[in-house]
Amino acid sequence: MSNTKDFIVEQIKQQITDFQTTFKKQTVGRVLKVTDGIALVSGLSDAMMSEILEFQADGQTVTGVALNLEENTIGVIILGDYTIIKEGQEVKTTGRILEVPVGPEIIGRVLDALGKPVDGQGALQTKQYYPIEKIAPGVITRQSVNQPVQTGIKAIDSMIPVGRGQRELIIGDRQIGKTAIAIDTIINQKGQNMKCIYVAIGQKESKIANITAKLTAAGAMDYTTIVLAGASDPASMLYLAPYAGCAMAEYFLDQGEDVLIIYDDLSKHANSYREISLLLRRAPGREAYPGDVFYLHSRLLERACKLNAEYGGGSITALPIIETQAGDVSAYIPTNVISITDGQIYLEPDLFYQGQRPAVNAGLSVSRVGSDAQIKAMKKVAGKLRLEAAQFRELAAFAQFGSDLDVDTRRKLERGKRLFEIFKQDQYNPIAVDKQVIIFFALINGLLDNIPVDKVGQFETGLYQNYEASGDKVKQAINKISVLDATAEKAITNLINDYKTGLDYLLEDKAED
Amino acid sequence: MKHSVKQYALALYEATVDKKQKAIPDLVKNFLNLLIKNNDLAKINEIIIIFTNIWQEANGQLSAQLITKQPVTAEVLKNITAYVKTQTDCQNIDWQQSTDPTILGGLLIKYRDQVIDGTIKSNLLRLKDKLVN
Repeated sequence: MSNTKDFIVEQIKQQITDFQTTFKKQTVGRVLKVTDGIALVSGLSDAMMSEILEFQADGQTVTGVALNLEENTIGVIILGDYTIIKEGQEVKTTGRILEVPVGPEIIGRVLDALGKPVDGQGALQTKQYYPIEKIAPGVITRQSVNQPVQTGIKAIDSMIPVGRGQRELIIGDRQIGKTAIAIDTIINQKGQNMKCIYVAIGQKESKIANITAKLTAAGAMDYTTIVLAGASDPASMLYLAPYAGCAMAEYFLDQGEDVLIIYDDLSKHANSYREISLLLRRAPGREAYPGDVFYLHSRLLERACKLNAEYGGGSITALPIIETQAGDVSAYIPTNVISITDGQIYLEPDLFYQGQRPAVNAGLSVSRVGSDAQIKAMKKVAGKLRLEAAQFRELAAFAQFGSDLDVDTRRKLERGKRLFEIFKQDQYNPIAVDKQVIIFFALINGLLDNIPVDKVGQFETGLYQNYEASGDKVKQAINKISVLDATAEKAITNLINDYKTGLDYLLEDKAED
Repeated sequence: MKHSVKQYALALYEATVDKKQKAIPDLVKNFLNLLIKNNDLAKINEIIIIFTNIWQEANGQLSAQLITKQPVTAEVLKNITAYVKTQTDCQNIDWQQSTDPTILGGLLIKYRDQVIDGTIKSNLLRLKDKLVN
């Protein structure tokens, strides 16, 4: 006989001899009522808030979470198949608060809202669990934002910079590139010492499969976890998913690491919470959302933080996404989340359909703390961009009426056109910060003025290739000396002028004057 | 103002607890009139159940269920009663005994919303769980 077989028999024998019979007291309640994903349970006098409860249904165990503790009954959200739960069945308390598995093992996986793998790559071997609800770090432990998150998107890194530990809202209508910004940001975190968690709330599973494939292809799954509560999952899962994702992020935070977490999107999260609340018979308020819908999001986003060195120095950067209806940012949930976050990236349909992609509206988008975190070189070149963009928009509207413009106005218009041409960027093609510095430097110093507007994109690509090939000298000038000093500026100017000499589409210098 | 079933039961208990036997029928009659006036007569069944619980608790009584495979002897029941007394503050325990061959052995005690599960069946199920996982 093989040793293996003996070993198995021995193991089972061991388990049987070690088995302790128990005689323990348990609190048991009974199901009074079951509705869509919600059960009303009597008894269970010692149940805790958000404690895991077990339904004994037809030999199967279904878990639920206590959400409403009332005088005689408990409102429970059911996590799993609620169709097999029947009136009168037994419900047991477990003494455990809802928790999710955390650890380095979750990287590269697709998990559901309870931390169970859904990617078919086997069970998770994590050793630790974190509660999904946790009070946010207090003021003593925090520090102001001082390191940048490079999104790789020129319009954002220059004008609406995001810092590590910041909460920056991405807001816009459907189908306008909100997720694209988030995914590009994840892709650009390669080698930036950042863990990423993408929480999909009520998204189509096909979309998630797409995103996973794209991230894998870009090598981004090496540092990314996807938490998925799909469109077909019950509202309870959608409600829990962002908190579960945040708990996973907090594990890395406690290790002193930087984490980027994306909640895609919180409108659906609010909708699922509204569904749960109405079924639990909590009083509806504005737009039928319950009274604590603000707290729902504020307690989640407050968990994003930058800890000071004494507490490990880690950070959680949150990029919540909100979908507006027909550009209405004054609806209930958008205004709530705008007021909670440290700024927003507003995506505009008009820009999107004009071909300005990503359709970032430079006027309505702000970042309240991010500019402290920008690297010096970028700060130097990007300082004037907001003004330049704002002036251009104003002039462009005005210039539509008259053709007879003075030289200064014409110059501003021409430069603005080139600026917005630079802001255009393909999806899945984030651009490193040093390259961004070069192109913005070229723009503000008038080096692009003799490039035709429709050739700016081509010029940019060529310039980057030339820069890649140019060797370390220029690269060091920009990367090492983060303050863009005279040497670096000269190196960039030379690089651009060198590249220009080989081009055949340049406008004649000062042709317009 | 709406009153809960528990409030009614507690009020009834407190109104009657120290009264003489003779006064009680009048009090109960008044209570029923109050229920009619408040349009809450439909709650009477629930009120009776909760009133019984309150009364039992106040008098150190407990009605408990005992489920075994075979009927237990008086000696065993005495031991079980002594054990349950240690778990609660109740002095008089009113047993409702029943037998259930599917539990295979051991015993199952139920009182209020507590269950003390010492059956062979549940222990075997637990062992099975442990061996499978």
